[in-house]
Amino acid sequence: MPAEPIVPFHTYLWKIASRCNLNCTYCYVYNRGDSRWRRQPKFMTDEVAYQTATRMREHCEAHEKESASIIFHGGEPLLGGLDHLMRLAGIIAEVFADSETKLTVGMQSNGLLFTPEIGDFMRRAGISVGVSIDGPPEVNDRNRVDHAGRGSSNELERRLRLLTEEPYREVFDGFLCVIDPTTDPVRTTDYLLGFDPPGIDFLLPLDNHDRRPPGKEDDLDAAPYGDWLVRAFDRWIETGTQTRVRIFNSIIGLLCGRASLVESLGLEAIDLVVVETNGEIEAVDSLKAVFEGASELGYNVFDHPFDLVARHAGVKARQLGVDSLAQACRECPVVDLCGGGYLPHRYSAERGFDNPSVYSSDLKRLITHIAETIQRELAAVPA
Amino acid sequence: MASERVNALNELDLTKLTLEDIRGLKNPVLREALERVLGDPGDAVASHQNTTSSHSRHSNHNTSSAQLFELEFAERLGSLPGRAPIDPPRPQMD
Repeated sequence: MPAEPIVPFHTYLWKIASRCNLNCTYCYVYNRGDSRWRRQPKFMTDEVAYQTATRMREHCEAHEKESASIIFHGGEPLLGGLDHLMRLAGIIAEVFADSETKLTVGMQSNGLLFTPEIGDFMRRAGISVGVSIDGPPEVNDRNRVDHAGRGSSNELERRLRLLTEEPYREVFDGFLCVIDPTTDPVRTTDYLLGFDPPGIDFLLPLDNHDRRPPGKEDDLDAAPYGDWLVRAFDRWIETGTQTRVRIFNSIIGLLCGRASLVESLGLEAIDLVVVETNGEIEAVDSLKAVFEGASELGYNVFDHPFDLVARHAGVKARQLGVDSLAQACRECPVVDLCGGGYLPHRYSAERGFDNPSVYSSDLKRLITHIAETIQRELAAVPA
Repeated sequence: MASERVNALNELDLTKLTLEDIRGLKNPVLREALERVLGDPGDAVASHQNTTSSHSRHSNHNTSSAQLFELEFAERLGSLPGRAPIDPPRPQMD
């Protein structure tokens, strides 16, 4: 019997460090439902990196992939310093030296360990970096604190001045910003745009039906995150900036019938996979925020090819489109756009993932606002 | 009210928009965002990837602007002092 067709992976999130120099209050790795980081090696070894890259190449070639993407992630991926980064990049380059598959390699970092030496290497190797930041210091330091509880903004601003100026600007991808609905979205948007980033994304916190997001504890129909995003969207289009905001650009694309730019929106099959520092393979590492072991598939790069991983029910569940969603989502007029929301946001102990996103009302609020704004602007175009 | 607005979304079909429709849009951010979507063949994301790829929520790696990873530097790295030899992969068990 022929093997069932699979959706090959495109994006490989490499957890190259399992520890972090920050201790952000909302971190899904350290401060939510999962403590398995304690038994992970601190850093991805050469052996794991070699085997991961080899498995990747095998999978890319089997599916004639013209391109693939690696994201260095953590913990804090720069915690191993320049030497660790160079070794991993060297291994990838060796394994893919004569491959037909073209790679992009990026990194998501807290930015605090970025140095000119690291920047010089990233420029040479063609590795880019996105930085996590929640807004101006008074916002960022609420949650993005070190292990002594001290804010990180002073040091981050110093590193950002380096990263966002020449000659390192070419390796700067932009910002990820977790939303705090009690803050001023206009001030946060303006502050982030002040660095002229190529891109920003605003993230909904990793909460769910059992641990409701701040501001929605008593009323899931309330939409404080939607309201925040609406104001940020209005500010974004008001500024005339060239910076892309991924959640907004994704919704605009989805409204026009195109694909989403991010896994947390839309109904496209997910082709993303995560490799931990010890070589274990996961489908959605942020499921760690839900309960202990929620992200485990039972596979690792030494014993299992990515083709096998792609056939795992936990992976395929994210490729079933609308059929995998809760009944309420299937009947919702915006389901093609929000896609039921991000998987960890749907969880409850009672019903598993058979729920709408805990941010359903927020997503509806934002999607409707963007659609109405486009409609209004189109109506104002002279015939 | 909210459900009426959501239902009204069904009436608003933007999937048939063309570049011609948005040419006169006054807002440059919206116009640029729509141009990128509607002018798909020139979109670096689309031309760079041979699949519709899902991007990690937990990274902001912009593949539309990112340069390709430079494979040629592997040899130069190989001569760096202190670089340990790469262990061969373990035999496949499955």
